[in-house]
Amino acid sequence: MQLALTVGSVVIAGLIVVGIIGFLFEKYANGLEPREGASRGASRDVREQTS
Amino acid sequence: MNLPHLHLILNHVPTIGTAVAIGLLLLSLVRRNQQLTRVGFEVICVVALITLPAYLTGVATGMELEKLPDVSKAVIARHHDQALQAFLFMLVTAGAAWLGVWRFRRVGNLSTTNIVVVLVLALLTMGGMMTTATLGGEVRHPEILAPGEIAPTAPPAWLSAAMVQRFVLDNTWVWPSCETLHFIGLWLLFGVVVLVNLRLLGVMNGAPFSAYHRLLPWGVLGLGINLVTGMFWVIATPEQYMTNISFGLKMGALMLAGADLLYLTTFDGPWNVKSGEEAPALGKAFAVSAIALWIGVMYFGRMLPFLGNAF
Repeated sequence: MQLALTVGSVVIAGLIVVGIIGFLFEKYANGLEPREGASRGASRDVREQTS
Repeated sequence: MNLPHLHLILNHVPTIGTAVAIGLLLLSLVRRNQQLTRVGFEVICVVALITLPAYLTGVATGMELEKLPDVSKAVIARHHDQALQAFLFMLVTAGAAWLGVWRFRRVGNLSTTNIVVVLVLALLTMGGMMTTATLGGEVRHPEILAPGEIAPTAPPAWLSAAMVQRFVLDNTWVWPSCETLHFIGLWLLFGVVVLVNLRLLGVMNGAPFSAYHRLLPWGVLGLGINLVTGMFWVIATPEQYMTNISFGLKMGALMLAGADLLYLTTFDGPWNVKSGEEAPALGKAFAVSAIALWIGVMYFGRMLPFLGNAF
């Protein structure tokens, strides 16, 4: 019982860490999404312009 | 060829490969060329993939060398500890570099923060790898020591394999916790890999590949969880893995599957697949191999006690 509770707590803590990383990533990734009317992401044209 | 031989072949790659990547990154800053930066990032990802077998074969080599009478166990242990630290740095560096490659694919540029973070991490990794290489040399090459110098020449590492081993074996909750997290990492990774690769195979082709590409960092996060939890087991009970054919096959499949994962974001083929379009033949071939290889990783992991001698 003690072992099950400890393992459960560690796993939940791990999931919380993963959730926080995921949340932060989603905030970052959403900031990269093209806005309405803007050209669509890193198409070949964008890369050609930057090279 | 055996594992120590393989270690001798691979063990220079992390040091030299990281140095090459740092050179590319510095050159890209001087030339203000982000394409070159991206290549530097990709080199770091490939070097990190090769660092995994370099580390694991090193563990196997240490187990073999410890049997010899004229080899110091203390020097081997110090080399292992340094390799563990450097490997962890390499993983973090590769994670940051991969995120940069992923971002470049989506928006066509890299942020200055990303470049600086990867460069600093790569420098730290190279420092760790250079120390690891020196300590590895001291195991069998006393001629590299200065007169009167005694190996190991580096001070104790802040993280030691023995410390990790005690942590895992002395606490009964660590192993089952890692098992559970390993499975969570597995479904996170495999779920994303299957979705993205099924799109390349023509399933769910109402959306462009870029929509599925957006999910890849979640899969890489799952891979990160599994690398860390898997490392706990390997360090705790190396004898169960290093002589296990199933583990060797699992690692081989993992290396190739990792290369497949890189293909999805470094090559133009998949990215250019728009809504309703079919992926190129090469993309489909990579998709089939990726799904097969990740199933192989799971299969050989599950077969560790049955094909091999673990547990």
